[in-house]
Amino acid sequence: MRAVRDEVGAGARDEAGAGAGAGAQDEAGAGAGAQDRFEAVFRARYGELFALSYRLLGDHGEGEDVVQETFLKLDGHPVLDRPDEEVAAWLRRVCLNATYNRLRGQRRATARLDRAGRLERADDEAGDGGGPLLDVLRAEQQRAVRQALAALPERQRACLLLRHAGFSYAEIAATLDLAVGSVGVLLARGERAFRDAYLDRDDADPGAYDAVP
Amino acid sequence: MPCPDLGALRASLDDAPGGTPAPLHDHVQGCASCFDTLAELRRNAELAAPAIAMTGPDGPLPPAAVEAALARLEQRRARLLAARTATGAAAAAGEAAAAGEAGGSGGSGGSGGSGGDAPAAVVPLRRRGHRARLSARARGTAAALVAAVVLTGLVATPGGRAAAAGFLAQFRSERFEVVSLNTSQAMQLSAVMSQLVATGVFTGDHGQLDRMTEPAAARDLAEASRLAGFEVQAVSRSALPRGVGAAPERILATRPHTARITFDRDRAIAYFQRNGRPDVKIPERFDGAQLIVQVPAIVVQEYPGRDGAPRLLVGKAGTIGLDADGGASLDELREVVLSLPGLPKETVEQLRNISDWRTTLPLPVPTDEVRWRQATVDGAEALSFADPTGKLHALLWQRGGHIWGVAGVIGADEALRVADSLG
Repeated sequence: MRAVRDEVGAGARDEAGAGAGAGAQDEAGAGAGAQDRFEAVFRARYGELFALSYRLLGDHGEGEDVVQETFLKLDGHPVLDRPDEEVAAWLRRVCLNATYNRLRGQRRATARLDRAGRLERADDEAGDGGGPLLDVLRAEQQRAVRQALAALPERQRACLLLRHAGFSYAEIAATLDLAVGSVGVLLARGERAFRDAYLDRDDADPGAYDAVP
Repeated sequence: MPCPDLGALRASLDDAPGGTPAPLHDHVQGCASCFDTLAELRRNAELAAPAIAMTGPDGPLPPAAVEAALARLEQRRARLLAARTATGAAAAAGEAAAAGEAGGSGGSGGSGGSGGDAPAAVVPLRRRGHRARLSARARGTAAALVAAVVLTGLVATPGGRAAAAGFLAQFRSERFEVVSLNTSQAMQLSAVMSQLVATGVFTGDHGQLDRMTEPAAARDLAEASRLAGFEVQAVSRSALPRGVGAAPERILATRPHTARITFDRDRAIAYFQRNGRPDVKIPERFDGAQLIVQVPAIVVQEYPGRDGAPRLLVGKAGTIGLDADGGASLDELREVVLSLPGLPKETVEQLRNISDWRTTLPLPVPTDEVRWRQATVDGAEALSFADPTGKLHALLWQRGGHIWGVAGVIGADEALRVADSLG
């Protein structure tokens, strides 16, 4: 995993792995195989990566953009030749980093999250028919959750997102380049920090969480 | 058992739904500190879980959305490759110029096109970028030069290839006509294509269409001619731009082949309905109709510059042919395709305005990225392209039952001189 991680960011930029000695026929076959592999990975992983990014960004367009960036980095990257679970972990890591960069790049994260809340509401308008008031409330809750998540250290935030998106401890460990045994601690700390950030927000309603110490 | 650490306690909440593992459970029951810690961990998890779940998308993405996203990605990959190719070529030209080798790279104004752009659209994955020169991948890409200009961005999407062939119903190549596309229109087009494939409106043997992007290296021009089924000659030395090697360094060829694309009437009707066109009626006889695409053989010669990097590409291909089989004519299938909801209106208009669609090959050109103009090659109508840097130039024309292309890190006049010397 370490080796793979070291390659993140290097992207598909050189031809070291291109197999210069192979004949054109082999190269053509390999190209087709690589294309099939790339497309299969895309179809298998796009949804979960989009969901991850969307949870933080709250914007379908930006979420998709981040996932596209992620797959552009995968294109031609040697990790594509690795087993599925390694590719998946690599993709999650790159996707999370790209999402964080996107959030950081905007500088005014709060304004972004406000906007995300509004967009969320707009996205939902055609959805569950809960009515405008529920839409507003839901958008507000989502905004608050994203603000709380944004306040967490990155690894804790990633750990929380991954766990509550249904990834196993092993998958989280592979994504964050951790020992599996360390996931629980990170998760425990992340959930506590999330609670503090979520309930400490200005408009928190502590009454709704009386049981939390 | 000693007190478990925080991580073990937290993991116990997930590892054992409904309870903690026995030894840990026993310990927690007898240890007030661990009991309290576990209770707090549970409360924190129970707060975080629904809150974070609320931020997710409403449900899993439908397969069509994933296909559309894949199509958009392919567009980005193609544009990225085009940009890298142009950048690399420009840098190579700059280096060559600095070494006193480049000839006329400043080019004649207004001529157009990027030999690097079009091929990029056709060979989606086969690239590993390389700065300051046309990379091996770019060479592989450029080897599909003629194929690229035949199908261009329409086949850039993996899922869209079969559906793209649907558009070929409008094609019977004897001459070209540029169909201008901006980025947004190109993406719109590819999204529709992907959906058509994802929903099964068009099905085909993708492999057949893919093969055209995978040329084989030929030992020499004689072998390339044999593979292609037509004669291929080297560019005469006197016509080669300064700094370009006298003989091709590499020759790539594909064989001609035929692809069949099948139309599914029920799925097409469902597609129209889903996209707000419940009124569209398609005769039953259309069901199972096939488009038969005759993909021509292609030969591309790569001529190196003095640094060994390719400077000039010369391509020759047969003309593309298309026919229909089954209960629908080519005219009728064309009408169905042009009526598809979601296609960019301006693009459809341009296609409809082609006066003789049976002999005209529409050539989608990303006009926000490529400049083009009409030209003449030895009396034949041609299109001249330039990339935004003005370093890459390309020419494309049809003559004598063949499509010809010249592209490279050369000036427009140099491209024309090479073109005039061919055939």
